[in-house]
Amino acid sequence: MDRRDAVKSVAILMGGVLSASTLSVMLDSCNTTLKEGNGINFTDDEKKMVTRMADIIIPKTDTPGAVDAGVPAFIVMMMQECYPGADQQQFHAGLAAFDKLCRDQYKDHFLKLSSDKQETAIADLDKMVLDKKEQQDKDLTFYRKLKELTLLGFFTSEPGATETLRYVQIPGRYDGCVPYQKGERAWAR
Amino acid sequence: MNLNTKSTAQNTFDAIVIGSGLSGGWAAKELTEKGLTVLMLERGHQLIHITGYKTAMMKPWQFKHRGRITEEQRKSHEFLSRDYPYGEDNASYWFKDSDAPYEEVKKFDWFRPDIVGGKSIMWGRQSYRWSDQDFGANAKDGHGIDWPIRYKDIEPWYAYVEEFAGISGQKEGYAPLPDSVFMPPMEMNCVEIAVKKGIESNFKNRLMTIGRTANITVRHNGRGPCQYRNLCSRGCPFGAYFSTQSTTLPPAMATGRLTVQPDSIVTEVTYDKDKQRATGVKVMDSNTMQESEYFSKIIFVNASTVGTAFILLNSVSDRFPNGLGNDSGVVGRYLMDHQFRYGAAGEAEGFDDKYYFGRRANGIYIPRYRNVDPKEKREYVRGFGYQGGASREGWQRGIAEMGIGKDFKKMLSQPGMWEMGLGAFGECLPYYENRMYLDHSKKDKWGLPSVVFDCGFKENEEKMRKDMVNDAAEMLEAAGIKNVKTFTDGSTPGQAIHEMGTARMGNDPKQSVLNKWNQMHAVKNVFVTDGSCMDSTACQNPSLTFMALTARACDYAVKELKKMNI
Repeated sequence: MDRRDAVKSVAILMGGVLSASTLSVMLDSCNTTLKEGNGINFTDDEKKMVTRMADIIIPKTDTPGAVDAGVPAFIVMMMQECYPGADQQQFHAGLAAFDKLCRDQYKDHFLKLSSDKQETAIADLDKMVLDKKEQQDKDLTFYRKLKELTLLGFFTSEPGATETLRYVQIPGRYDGCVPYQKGERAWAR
Repeated sequence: MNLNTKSTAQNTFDAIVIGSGLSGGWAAKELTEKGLTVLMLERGHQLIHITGYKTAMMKPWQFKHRGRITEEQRKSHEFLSRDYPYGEDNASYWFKDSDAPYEEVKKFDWFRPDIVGGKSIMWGRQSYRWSDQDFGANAKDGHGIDWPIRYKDIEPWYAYVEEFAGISGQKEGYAPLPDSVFMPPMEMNCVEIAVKKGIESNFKNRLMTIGRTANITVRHNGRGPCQYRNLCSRGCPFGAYFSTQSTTLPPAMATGRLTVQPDSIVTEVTYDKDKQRATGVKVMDSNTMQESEYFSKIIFVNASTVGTAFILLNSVSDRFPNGLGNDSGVVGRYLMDHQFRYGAAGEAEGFDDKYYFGRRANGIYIPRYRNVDPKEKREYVRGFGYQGGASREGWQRGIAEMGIGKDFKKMLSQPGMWEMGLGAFGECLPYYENRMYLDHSKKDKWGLPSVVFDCGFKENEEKMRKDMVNDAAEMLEAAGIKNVKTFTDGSTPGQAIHEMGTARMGNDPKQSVLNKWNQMHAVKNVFVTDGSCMDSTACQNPSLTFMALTARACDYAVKELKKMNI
């Protein structure tokens, strides 16, 4: 069972009563091993890469994007505080492996590519890592964490929850069956 | 310290209640209301209703780690961090594992709270009566010992605690799951209503009802109704679910006869051989390690299934070399928990134009139907019930899916597919070998022995799991759910946090610790009314039964006290 299914099944078990924060704990805990070593620093270039990647995954549109929501700094902080040393090392190795891939395929460092090429490179990486049919380069799986933290950081941020989603702090009631029109935003939890 | 001026300043009380959780709170309420002075001892720290719930009104973005726990917390909470209940939003409510690590001959998740209110603050709130099918189960198939009570003995006490606690739910008139005294039920959503119809029209004797939960749906005794925030485990600022703080503590404090003392670890119950009575308790201040002694006429031990057994096993005297009241040798044994995390889930089609409003902290329930009909013969005894529910996928679906950019963002800004799932809670039989015991060679921060768990599910549970999984898939498919997938996540004891056993009730003192009144056979002024007393697990969530047994035992204890029998 992959992590997503495992999380879903537990959420279902609880009658769907798990909150977003609890779900994110679950997502995390399925993949965690206790290892020594904490807080590997990010270089400026690594931070720039994370920033650009988060920006491409969740761009600013008619609502704020990942960068507006402070997601890049969130990713760095989360990697340093919430992941064991081995996971952090893998993340850094992954960024390097991805940069090498860019040099091989697009003949330059990721940060030096044009915006269009950066987007293409991330789209390819996304497919490479998340398409179950594709052979996975182990180092590149760092992207799973990057994407997960980008979505977590964004959709639980104030702009993400209140502008991209709809946030109601105190619903006050439960209506089990209300009409929904395509395009209406989902509830933040 | 929460000293009440009317209580005696000395260390003597009519009653001592050990533990301030769900059952301890009830004991404090009942005993003080019946006129007794009560000292309630809690090893955890103080947690004041409403003002103590520091995270209750925080918004998602106000949590630095957005709910997740850190590496540092994983190290200090090595057992708790293995599972979901311990999160950033309620981390301060939980016990620091590294202060008292435990040993696992077999894996056991022990969820230790560290607050006044105990797990009544973080509990799941699902509240179900047990029936004669449950109280008669041991006698019928020979596993464990016969319960010394039947449904008729506890029925009025169920009604009594339900009326006061406030349980919302729907009457169904289904004998294996007797109806409670209900507040108005929460609503099912459209998909749940459709699945209910699908199940009930395709399967005789199976029904699906809204979860019966200790969240109140109308104003009750000064407590506000549920606001549908689904943030219960942070503590409810509206007092909308049953907890010690919201429900049992206020009336107990109002009597002027209750003293609540946090940071107080009860290390043992003291015993007088000549009087054949317990005399009181020894207490260690968890901060200063200072020891003191308190005295009382009666003692209620409500320290949780494992905590209570710990105290009894640690209360050694000439008369009770194996622990207080442990002539039978069963203290710590017959440890049980429900098995869960088995079931199925799938997608509901045709409801794309439907959604819901509010975050309902409740799901649906399918009561036990297996082995109910005496003619039915499964490969196993006992049965299981399902909890579950339907909801639309949120942004989390994007994590494992391909996609980036503005279209991806737009897609995730809208609700995803409807999903419906059923997860079973299955009964676990009582086994002599399943136990916890003390290891005196390893001491915790306070110099107390560590707990060892040796407890596992066996053949009957394994056989039951097949039905738990297959029946869920079968019902969902019959109800029109698509792409049904089963899940068999693996379950180990402790995970359901429905631990029971360790000081069971029974008619025979040679085989049990407590009599039918939750009174210790060998020490008449000691009562145990938490999960320890249970002879079997049934498949329903047990907390409501702990409440009812506690109120019943308090009534008996005070009558006996007045008759000078104890």
